[in-house]
Amino acid sequence: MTPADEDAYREFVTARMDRLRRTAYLMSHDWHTADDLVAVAVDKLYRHWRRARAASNVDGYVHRILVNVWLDERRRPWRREVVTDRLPDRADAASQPADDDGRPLLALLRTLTPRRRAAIVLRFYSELSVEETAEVLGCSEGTVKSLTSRGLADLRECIGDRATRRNG
Amino acid sequence: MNTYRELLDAEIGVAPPSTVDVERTIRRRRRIRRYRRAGGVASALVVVGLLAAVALRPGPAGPPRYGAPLDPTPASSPGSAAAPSPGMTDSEDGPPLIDEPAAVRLTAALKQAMAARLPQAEFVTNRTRPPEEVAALVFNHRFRLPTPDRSGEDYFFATADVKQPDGAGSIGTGSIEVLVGRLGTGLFTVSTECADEGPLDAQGFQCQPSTGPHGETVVTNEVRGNQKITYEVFVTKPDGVGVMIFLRNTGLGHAHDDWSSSPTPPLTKTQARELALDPGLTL
Repeated sequence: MTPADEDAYREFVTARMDRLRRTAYLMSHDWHTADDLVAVAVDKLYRHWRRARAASNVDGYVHRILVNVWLDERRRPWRREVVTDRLPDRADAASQPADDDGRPLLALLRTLTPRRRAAIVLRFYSELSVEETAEVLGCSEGTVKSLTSRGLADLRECIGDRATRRNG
Repeated sequence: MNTYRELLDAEIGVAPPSTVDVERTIRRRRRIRRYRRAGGVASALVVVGLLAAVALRPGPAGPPRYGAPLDPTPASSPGSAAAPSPGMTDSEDGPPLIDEPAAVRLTAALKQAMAARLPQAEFVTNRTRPPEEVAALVFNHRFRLPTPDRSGEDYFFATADVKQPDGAGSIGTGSIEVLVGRLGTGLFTVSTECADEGPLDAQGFQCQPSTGPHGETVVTNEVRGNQKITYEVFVTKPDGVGVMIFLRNTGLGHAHDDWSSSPTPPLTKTQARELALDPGLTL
């Protein structure tokens, strides 16, 4: 990587750092894990920076890396999440708030299966298109629509009329 | 009226200070690049030297060694409160320790079991950790105490890409990963019951719980992507040892589900279960 490439990489990553961390947090619900995921993702991005820059959608490329890093992390069986409709009694005070009181959307996201959660985060937080989300998740556009439609209904029920439906 | 992003951002609130250090990533990658270049030159010199030595003094070669720990100091026991010695770790900063007696014994058991089940197969390393490769099916000890920022781990790990005739006249490539560890330390846990759903990118997921001949708890998964098929076997033994096996119909370098080089993983699910219950894969 040339110094100019490194400058471009640094500028790109720095500009998106907050967004990437928040995206990772929404998927993992833990800031320590989120930072781990982003650290690995930006490392992979560095290694493939030239290919990434050649991609038509660099942001989509980065999100794909981030989701795959999360997938790899979850494949470690001791990291595999157990989806439950009950929130945990205790939380790690260092890494997350004691509970999701007053944060109904985050509480709702925690109850979604990882697959549905990722689709919701990519579509409505990262604001990727259905096509881009399908590419990131490695599934069909129909699958993305199916995954998000039920999640979206839950979101709407959860937040009432606080959100516009323009991105639904 | 707000967008979902704005609502989610509001609920997330102010993010804690980032621990992601981009400059450190850049420095680290530069260092690795320099290291690899130097390693390439050194390797070439070593090859030239060896060829010269062989040409000048022919004779029987010594027994091959897979590698050696960086630190010859005996390591502390896994899971103890003491910090791990550098030689115990399989970190990116050094080669893994693979000469431990347990690793040697596990390696022999795994190689024998795989050779018996796949006599036609070629096992190829799929892990390159400079400055040396980790040989195929060779166990190394992965140990890291937990820190506030990272989880810990403690288990023996072996992997290989498996090349064998695919029945259609060409060579297919699959892969195997095997993890063996002691349960109850919090550094290694094994699934003991079926999950409701497979990994995020699964297009299909089946799980079969069962009990082994000696009371082992066995969970066998089949995870299907567009083309990728993964068999997962989790064994919890009554003596507190856990075994995990992952078999894929791709080489380990292919993480996505839309590509495969073999119609099925190198072993059947039944064979995978048998392998996970192999008495040699224990501590």
